[in-house]
Amino acid sequence: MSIRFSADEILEMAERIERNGAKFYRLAAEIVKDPGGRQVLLELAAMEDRHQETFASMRAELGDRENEAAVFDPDSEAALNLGAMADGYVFDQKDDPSEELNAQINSRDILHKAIGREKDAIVFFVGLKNFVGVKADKDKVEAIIKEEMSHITLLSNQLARLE
Amino acid sequence: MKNPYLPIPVRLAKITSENEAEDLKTFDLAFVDPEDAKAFKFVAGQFAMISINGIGEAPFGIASSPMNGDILQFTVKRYPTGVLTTALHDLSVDQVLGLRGPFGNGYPVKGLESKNILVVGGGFALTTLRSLASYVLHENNRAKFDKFTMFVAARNPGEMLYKKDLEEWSKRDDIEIVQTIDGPAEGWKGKVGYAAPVLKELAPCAENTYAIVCGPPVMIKTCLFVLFELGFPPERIVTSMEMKMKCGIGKCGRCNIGSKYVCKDGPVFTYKQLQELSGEY
Repeated sequence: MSIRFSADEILEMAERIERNGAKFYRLAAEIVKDPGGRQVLLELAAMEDRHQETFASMRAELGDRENEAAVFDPDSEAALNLGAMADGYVFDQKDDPSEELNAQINSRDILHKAIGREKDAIVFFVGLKNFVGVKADKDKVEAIIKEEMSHITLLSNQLARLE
Repeated sequence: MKNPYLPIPVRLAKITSENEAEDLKTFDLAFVDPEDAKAFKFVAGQFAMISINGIGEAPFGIASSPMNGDILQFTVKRYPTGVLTTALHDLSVDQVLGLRGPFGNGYPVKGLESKNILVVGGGFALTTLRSLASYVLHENNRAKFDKFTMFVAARNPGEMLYKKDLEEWSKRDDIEIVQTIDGPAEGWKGKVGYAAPVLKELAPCAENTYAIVCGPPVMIKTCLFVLFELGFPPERIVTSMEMKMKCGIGKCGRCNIGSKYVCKDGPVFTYKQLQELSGEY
């Protein structure tokens, strides 16, 4: 019985978080009036889609050992629990985009908020790293953290271009 | 000297079905020899090896209260490919089985005195937690412990274990019980959601509190993450490990995690102890 997270489980949560992010940004794009702001949000959603694909590729590259389920789980309870956990972090599914992003918000503020979310993601994965046992799995989590940091660089560059 | 490999004969006194699927049953075992009953003392969190002649032997956590040694209770899930669990479920009352134990270290009840206790349990791992709750709530013991909270998760109302106990305990004012199921169900009055997000929402206070966590592995690890976030230090998070065991007495080496034997040094460990052990667990 393993009560440590495997690389596969963490990547599954990473994918879920990116999917939640894309959904959040697309919902937000429907709220925001400013065309520039709306465009930024749609670009952010597309970026999250690409991030999800990156994590899906990392997951596909995992070996059989890293991918095998440790316990008998015919109803995919593990995936459901992990998904429920991921839904409460970074893009909490209980949050309503309209409460955070009002119709008048501008592109600069949107990018600041997006950078904040990426930082939240890093904090989440740094925390999860303490729950991973095998070095190979820790390395995968490090790779996720580096990927999230590159997202911050991307967004910061976008923000710099606006300013 | 008592031979630890020889099972004690116990009679199947009662069988109680615990869920709608009828694949989870509680077996009440009575000692055939009253002297064995007198000698069998255990603490909550310990386990015993149950055997059926000609079929096999396996470890099961003791679900009954340590304050009542006349009858031992074990709640066992029938696994589709489980030889022993299937045979156990097919037994009738009055049949005789073998029992060895008690084994393992049990929950650190002395260390829990004057502390708040948060029990986090899910599925049929609630067995030894029920033993702990029965111990804490006993009239001889309750005053030794501070606030006692039970957070119990199940897939659906039909899978919630020990409904009668939970209902009785809910009527007391010296225990708080929070139940959650994975998805909505008609007539359900408790929380709805998977264990970790609901626990996060409840945000129990970590101060002077021990968290005792048992459940399916994914529930344990997601709840451990939440408990860490809430400020529970690893030395105050306690869990019970499951490993394949054979002898139960630290001789065959089958259940080791690093330098420890789960059957002898565990199955109860603090998360701090687990962090210090090498290898996967």
